[in-house]
Amino acid sequence: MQLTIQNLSKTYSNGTQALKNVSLEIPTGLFGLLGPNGAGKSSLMRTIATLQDADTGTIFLDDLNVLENKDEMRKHLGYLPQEFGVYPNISAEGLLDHLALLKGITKKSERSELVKALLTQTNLYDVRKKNVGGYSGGMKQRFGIAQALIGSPKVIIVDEPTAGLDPAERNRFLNLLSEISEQVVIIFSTHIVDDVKELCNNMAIINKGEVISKGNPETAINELKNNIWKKIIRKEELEENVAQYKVISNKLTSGKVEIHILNSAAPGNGFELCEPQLEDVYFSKINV
Amino acid sequence: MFFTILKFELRYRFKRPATYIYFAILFFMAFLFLTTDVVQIGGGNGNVFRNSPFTINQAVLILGIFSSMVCSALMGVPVFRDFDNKFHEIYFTTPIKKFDYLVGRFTGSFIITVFVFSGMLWGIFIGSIMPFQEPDQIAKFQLMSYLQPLLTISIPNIFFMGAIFFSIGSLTRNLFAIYVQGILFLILWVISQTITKNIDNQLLAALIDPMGVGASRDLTKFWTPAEKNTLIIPLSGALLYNRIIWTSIGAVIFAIGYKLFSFSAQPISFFKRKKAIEETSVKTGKIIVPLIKPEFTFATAWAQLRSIARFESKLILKSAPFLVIMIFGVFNLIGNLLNQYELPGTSQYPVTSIMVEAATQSFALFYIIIITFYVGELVWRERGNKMEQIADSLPIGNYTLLFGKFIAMLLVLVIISGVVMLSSMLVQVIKGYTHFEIPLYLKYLFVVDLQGYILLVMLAFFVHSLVNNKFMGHAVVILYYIINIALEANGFTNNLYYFNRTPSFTLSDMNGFGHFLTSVRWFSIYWFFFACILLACASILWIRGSESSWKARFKIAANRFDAQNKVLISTCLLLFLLCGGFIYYNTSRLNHFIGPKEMLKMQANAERKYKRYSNTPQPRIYAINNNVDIFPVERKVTIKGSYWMHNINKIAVDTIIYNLTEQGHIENKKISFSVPVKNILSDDSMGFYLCKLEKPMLPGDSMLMRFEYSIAFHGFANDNSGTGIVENGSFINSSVFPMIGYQPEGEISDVDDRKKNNLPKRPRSFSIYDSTKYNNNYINNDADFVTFETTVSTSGDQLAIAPGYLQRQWREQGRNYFHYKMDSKIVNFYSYLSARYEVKRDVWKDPKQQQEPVSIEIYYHKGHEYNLDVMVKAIKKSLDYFTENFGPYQHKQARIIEFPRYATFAQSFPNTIPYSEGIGFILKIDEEKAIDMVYYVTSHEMAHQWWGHQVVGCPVDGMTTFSESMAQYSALMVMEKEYGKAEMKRFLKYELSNYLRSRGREKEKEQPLLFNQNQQYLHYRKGSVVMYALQDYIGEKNVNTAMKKFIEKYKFQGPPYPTALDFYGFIERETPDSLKSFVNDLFKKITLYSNECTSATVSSGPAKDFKVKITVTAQKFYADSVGNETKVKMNDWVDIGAVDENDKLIYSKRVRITKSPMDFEFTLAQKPAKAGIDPMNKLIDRDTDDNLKKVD
Repeated sequence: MQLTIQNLSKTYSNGTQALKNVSLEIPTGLFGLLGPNGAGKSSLMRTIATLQDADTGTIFLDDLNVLENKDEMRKHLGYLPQEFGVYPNISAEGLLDHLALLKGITKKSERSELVKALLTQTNLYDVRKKNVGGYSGGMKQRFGIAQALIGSPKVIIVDEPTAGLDPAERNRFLNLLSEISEQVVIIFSTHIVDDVKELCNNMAIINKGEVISKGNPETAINELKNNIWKKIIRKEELEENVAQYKVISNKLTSGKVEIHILNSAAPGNGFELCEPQLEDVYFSKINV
Repeated sequence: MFFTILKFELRYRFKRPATYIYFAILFFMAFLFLTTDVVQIGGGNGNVFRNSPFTINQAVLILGIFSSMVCSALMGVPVFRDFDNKFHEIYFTTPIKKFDYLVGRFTGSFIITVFVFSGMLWGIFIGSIMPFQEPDQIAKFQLMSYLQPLLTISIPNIFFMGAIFFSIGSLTRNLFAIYVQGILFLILWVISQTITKNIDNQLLAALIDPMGVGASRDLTKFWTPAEKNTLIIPLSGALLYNRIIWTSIGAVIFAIGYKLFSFSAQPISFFKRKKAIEETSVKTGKIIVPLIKPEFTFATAWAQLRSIARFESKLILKSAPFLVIMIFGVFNLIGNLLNQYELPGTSQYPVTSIMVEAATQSFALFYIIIITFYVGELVWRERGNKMEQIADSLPIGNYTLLFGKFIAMLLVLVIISGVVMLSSMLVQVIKGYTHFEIPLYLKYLFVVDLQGYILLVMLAFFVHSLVNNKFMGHAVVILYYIINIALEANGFTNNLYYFNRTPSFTLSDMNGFGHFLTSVRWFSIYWFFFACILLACASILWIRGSESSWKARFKIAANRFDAQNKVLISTCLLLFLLCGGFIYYNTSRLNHFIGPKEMLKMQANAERKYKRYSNTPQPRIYAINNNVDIFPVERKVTIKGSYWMHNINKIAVDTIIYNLTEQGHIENKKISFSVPVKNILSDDSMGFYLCKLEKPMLPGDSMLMRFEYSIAFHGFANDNSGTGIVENGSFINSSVFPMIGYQPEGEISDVDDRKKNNLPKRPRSFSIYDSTKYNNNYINNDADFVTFETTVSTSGDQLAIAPGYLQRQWREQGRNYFHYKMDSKIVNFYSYLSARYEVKRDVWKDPKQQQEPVSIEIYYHKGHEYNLDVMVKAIKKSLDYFTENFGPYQHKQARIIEFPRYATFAQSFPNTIPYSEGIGFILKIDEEKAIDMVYYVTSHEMAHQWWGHQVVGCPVDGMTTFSESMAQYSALMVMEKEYGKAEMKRFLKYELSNYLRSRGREKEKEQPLLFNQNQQYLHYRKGSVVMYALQDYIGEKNVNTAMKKFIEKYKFQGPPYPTALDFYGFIERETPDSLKSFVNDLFKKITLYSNECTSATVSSGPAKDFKVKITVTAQKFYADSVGNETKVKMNDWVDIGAVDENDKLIYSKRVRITKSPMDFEFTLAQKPAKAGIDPMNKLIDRDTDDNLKKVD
């Protein structure tokens, strides 16, 4: 199974070009979508999730033309939007049951078994009778995950799912995703580079609506081997370094600044070679 | 800081749509109150303008109280909002002062609430300048009449309610409490009203009502209509104290709330707090999520639909606004049903047909509010809860989703109808009536009434899907209602082009739904298909996902408009057009659709064309013989009859003119004369025909006219007309038979309509001095007294009744035949009735044995036995009194015949009194209040057998004085014999106030009673008061002597017919000279008195007696035809008297009042409760309550 996106472009009515000629092949497994805020990740995901049309381009799930057959696509879809609310005055169990029915789980016994399992899996079983509206951010996010998993979807789209989760939950969630990813296409967007590195066989980096990098994270990292140099400097020196080198990132470390630069040969001048991380890939694509 | 917070609050609130929605709600409530009868508050009626200062005050008061929830929603939330937005932790940690925060927020919200409440004033103002308002119901603009209620009612009330709501809202910080406190406040207020109703001390009652209703009432209770129209309610007396007291209490409540409030995260709670949902520890065990494959079949769609319907309807039913609206609605409903039919001493049996009709009317507004509001909620549910991204990507079809929501709304409507039904049944139980007709309830509420609402729901779905903005959607739906009101007001009634308009109909016990539902159903089905197209469009336009630009929506819509949708929409369109064609065939081919405006135009044209024939000499009918066959199921009457006519003119007649009514329903018409004629003019559309006699008919000659035609109702019409011939309860009268000569009856009578159609002004009756008009009676112009014989047939299960005595009755081909013949001559005025009747029989025997016994028959609908005995008794007592005092009864029979309540009157034909089921048969007579309408109406109609059928006036001023006013007098005398003098006061007071109220509605001119121009408020209402005073002053015996002589002279005579002056001559002859000017004031002038007792004291006399001293003032005015009054010198005999605690008269003496004030003294054996002038209200006095004063 493969999701094929070809030449997808979208311009909003206010003139913002959200997607520029995006083409991606997404096989089964976890697919990470990296990019800064406003890069077009959500636009792309919404388009795949049938909530938005493209000006040009196509999306195919195997032979299924997603944009032409939205109803069919929805049968195979699990979607967790970046932000969502819930209906008032309804328990998690009740709402999940309702959604399960709408997702085509018509047998009551099957549904309640599924709801119970999902609630347990997302660790909400003990509070299943409680009003979802009263959930904390993390609990609500877990509820969102539970609903996205209903009905064994072939394509799961999760938009920044780990935001608001504590580290333990995040780990659990990512484990869960990687467990089910063998059979299905999972697209998840994040700006936490490590998430992608740990889990994904494939990824794409998007900036300003364009795919600026795609492929296997390891390959991408390997491409930068011997090209990333780091140096610890004083804050005042940052400006001149930026002028002089292709600085891809800087971060504070015990009062000083550590900068990474992209350079094919040794720049000298106190720079030392460092082992590239996915983060360096990301910043080299975005900041240069 | 205070001003910063205040400004922030105002700016924030003025940006919120809620502010404008509440404003709009109050605006429209007031607007509807002023422009329609949808919102009934009381206040504007009779000659009180719809926008008089009094009415505006009343509307602002009552709507303001009912808006306690709006007040709570506005005043309860300003502090809660910070908690709700989880902003309080930031806000409360700023160096903000408690005073600035609380008082600033309160003041801001208070200003906003005042702004919102001012919506009522705008609604009234805009309503009052709507072009369709009748100018005589609208007062000139007066700024103070708007400012007064705002300043003295709204602002203090908002402050008081606001202080409570703000304090509770700020302390509990609980949305539910904020919602509920408004309702609780209202309920408590209603309950307090009921309790304080019985408080004797009126000042106390006025003071303890925090909203000032009691105080307003106390100030205005004696106001005359003119005062209500002009005076501004002053801030004085009880109202001033009331406002001071309750504003202070409001301030104290605010102070307490202020004290208790603290900047803490924890609210004060009156309930045990719910625990916050605790995080549960993370479990690490591996869970296997079962692999369940979803399936998508038709069964899935069905299950999805049901789930959505269940889910959405639950959300509506559980929502607070829904409950609030329902509580309101039920309160309003029960109140309305309990107070149905308020006449003195009378209520109505709460029979299901009346209750279900009244219940649906009372609840209509609430259905509409709920539909308007909740269809918007349904369409916006996902987006409103930010759940649209999840919901829109679910594998559910647009149709399933939309239908699910649609069905959810239907379920809600069904539940509402169930509540309406139970509330209505509850009222029946309260009134002690347990004969529930559940099937009737079910059919009316759940089938007939719901149809229209379902279509409305479909329209609202379409609008909300199309507009894609919740508030704009609401605005468009509300605009639709306004357009409807405007269309209706402008006479646009063609249901074929008027969405969701169906013919209105009346439910009758006798005839059930009758034939009415056929047309209602066809129009419903017709518009249903249209609404289906709307719903299909709604689904095509449904927003799914984040695309909302018109361009994108159009692209999506084009995509969704697939083969399936094309088939569906074109099928609906085809069915819509087919139904439309069928309806058009029925309403415009089988029937003739004429809008009200077009009808007037046709009448005007006919008048212009044919009025020239009004003086063409015509022969007169002197013998009538009719064969009438009534076919109730087919709704058809076949008429075959003949008139013998006689040329009573001094010149030859060369032209015969005849008229037929029921245009458009006349079939197989054959008219022939015993002499050769040539048809000159046949105007079928106006039923006007003219033929030339080949040989002129000489004076004294006779001829025979034969006529044969059917009146048939085929198919159905645009409106449910044709209630004369129905399945059970047909009632037609002589107007459906040919009328000879030009008929001025067909002319437009309304002044304004005449003006609009460029017709000259026309007096309602001719001058009393125009003796050329004495040759006709006012009932018709083609006959005098005639002989009458008829055969009438009807279906085999029914009885048919016409004037005359039954000669023979037989069955033929399964039909019942009756041959009636009248033995004496009658006025050319007769009726035919047919229904499945039960009959009650009795006999009246003349106690003086001067007259043969009269058989009494009452034909009634089975189940309507309640008042038969009263009717029989009233007939007997009437015959007793009338035969003794006016002369013999001309018939051997007196019959009352019930007919369906399509009209609510009783009417006297010779020996035949058709009597509507709505006014007599189901009236409940309150034993304690004694005087009942059944007794009164029955004696009134019996009296017409003398007054109207023995003597009848001519069509000049005063024509009905000695028919209607004398019938009133006769009924009063019969009632007085039965109930005693003291009981008459209540009745007369009702008649008096009715007269005083109605004269303000006069469109042309008020006439003195003697010269009345068929004005009902004069010949009935003033007639009662004047005739009662006359007999009280000159003596009942003298009045009766005069009347007996009058009847003896004129009975069964004419032409020339007597005029009111002839009648007056007989009265004058029996009047002593000392009272001649008084009687003149009664009949020939519009006389008003203003009598008042200014002081009344009592002191115990030596021999256990009581000496009463009173001071009275009395003034007399003559009014002109538009109500301008001139004070004249008082020199009249007036009663002074005293009553006991039960208002029973214990002393009365007639004194001559020559100056004002005057003192009187009298001694009584018992202590009086009140004393004063004119205790029985015999004189026309606008304020009868001040006639008597409590003695000190």
